[in-house]
Amino acid sequence: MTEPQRVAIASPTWWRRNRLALAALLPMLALAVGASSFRYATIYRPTTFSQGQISSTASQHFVASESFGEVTIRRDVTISLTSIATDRAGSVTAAPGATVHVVELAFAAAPEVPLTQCVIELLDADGRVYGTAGGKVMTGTARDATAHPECTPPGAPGPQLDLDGTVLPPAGNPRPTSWPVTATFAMPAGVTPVAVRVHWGPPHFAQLPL
Amino acid sequence: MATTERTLTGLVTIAALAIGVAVTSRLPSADSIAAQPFVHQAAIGETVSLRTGQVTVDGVDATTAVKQSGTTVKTSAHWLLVTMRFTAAREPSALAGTTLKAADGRTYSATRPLQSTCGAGQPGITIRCTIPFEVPADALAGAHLLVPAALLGQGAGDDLADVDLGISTTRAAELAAITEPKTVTGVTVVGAQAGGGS
Repeated sequence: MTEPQRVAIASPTWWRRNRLALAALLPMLALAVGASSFRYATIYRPTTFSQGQISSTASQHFVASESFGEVTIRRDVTISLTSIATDRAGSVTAAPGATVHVVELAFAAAPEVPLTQCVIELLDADGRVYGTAGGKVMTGTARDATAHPECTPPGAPGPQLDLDGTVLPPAGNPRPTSWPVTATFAMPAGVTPVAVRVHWGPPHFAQLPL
Repeated sequence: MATTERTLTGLVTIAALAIGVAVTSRLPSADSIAAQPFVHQAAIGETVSLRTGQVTVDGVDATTAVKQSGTTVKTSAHWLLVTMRFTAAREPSALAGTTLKAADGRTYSATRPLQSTCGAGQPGITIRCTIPFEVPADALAGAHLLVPAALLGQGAGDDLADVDLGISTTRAAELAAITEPKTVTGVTVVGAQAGGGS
C-alpha cells in the first residue's frame, strides 16, 4: 500500500484575500468625503446676484418673487431705458477725475405691486458696479439728495413692505401705471457704463444695456 | 489565516485608528479655520489691498475734544484720530467696523455720536475720513488699527488689514499731552484714480 502523495498548496496572499475590500476603499473614501461636505452654493447663490433677467433691448419685463418667512411678495414691473447723459446733473458735482452720469428710466407696473426701496446701479465693461451714493462733492454740510433714488413716483409710492414682508396698504396718492425715475452716478472719467441694473436685493435683478 | 497574522492585523487596525483619532483631535475644526481672517500687515503710509478695496492709513493725531457736525464731544481720556484713505475695488463699499487694538490686546471701537464709518466708496474714487477712538493714555503706545474688508463678520474668513500706527512711547506721551479741540470732518471725496477703477 502506497502513502498518499502530499501536495503543497500555496495559501493566497493577504492582498488577494482582501481584494474586494481593498477595491471598495476608493469609492468608500469618495462617499465619505461627499457625505461630510455641504453645498456652499445653497448659501451664496441666494445672497448674490445669481438670478439675472438680462435684456438685450432697452426694456425688460422683470418678474420675481421674494419670501419673508411665510410671506411671499411678487414684483412684476416693466423697466425701460429712456436716456443716459453726462454732466447734466445740475446741482451735483463729481469728484475730481470723475464724471456724472444721469440715467432716465421709465417704470410701468400695476398699482398693487410693491416697488419701494429699490437699488439702481451702473456696470462697466469689467463688471465693476457703481452706486448712486459716493463720488460726488457736496458743499458744506449739504447731503446728496440723489444718493438714494426711489423707483416709485414722489408722493405715490404704492404699497410698502413692513419689516416682516407684510404688504402695507398704499399711502399717499394712487400710483400711476407708468412713471419716470432718475438716477445720478459719479464714475471715474474714462470709465464707460455699459449696463444699468435694478434690484430689490439679491438674487434677482433686471439689467438693461446702455 | 494564521493566528499570528490575525493578531498582527488587529494590532495594526487598532494602531491606525488610534493615530487617526490623535491626528483628528489635534487638527483645528472647520469652523475655527473658516473664522480665521486673512491678515495683511502694514504700517502708516502703506497701502493694503483688501477684497473690497485699498486702504491707506495716513496718520494719527489726538485731542480731548472732537468737533464734528456742530457737536463737541469731550473725554476725560483721549481721542485718537486716525486718518485713512479708501478706494473701493469692484462695487460700492464703505470702511466700517474698524477697531483699535492696544499693545496689550484690548480693543476699542469707534464711538457714537462721532463718525464711525468711512463711506460710501465708489469703485476707483478715493475717499478720506478720520475716525476718532476714545482710549486711555496707556493704550496709545503700540496701538494697531484693524480694518476689516466688510462690516459683516468683522474680517472673519475675510481680509483684515492690521496697520501698525507707529506710536512709540515718546510719541504716545506727545499725543496724550494734546488737549486743544480738533475739528473732524466727515467723509471727503479725494477723487478718481487715473484710468478708472482699481
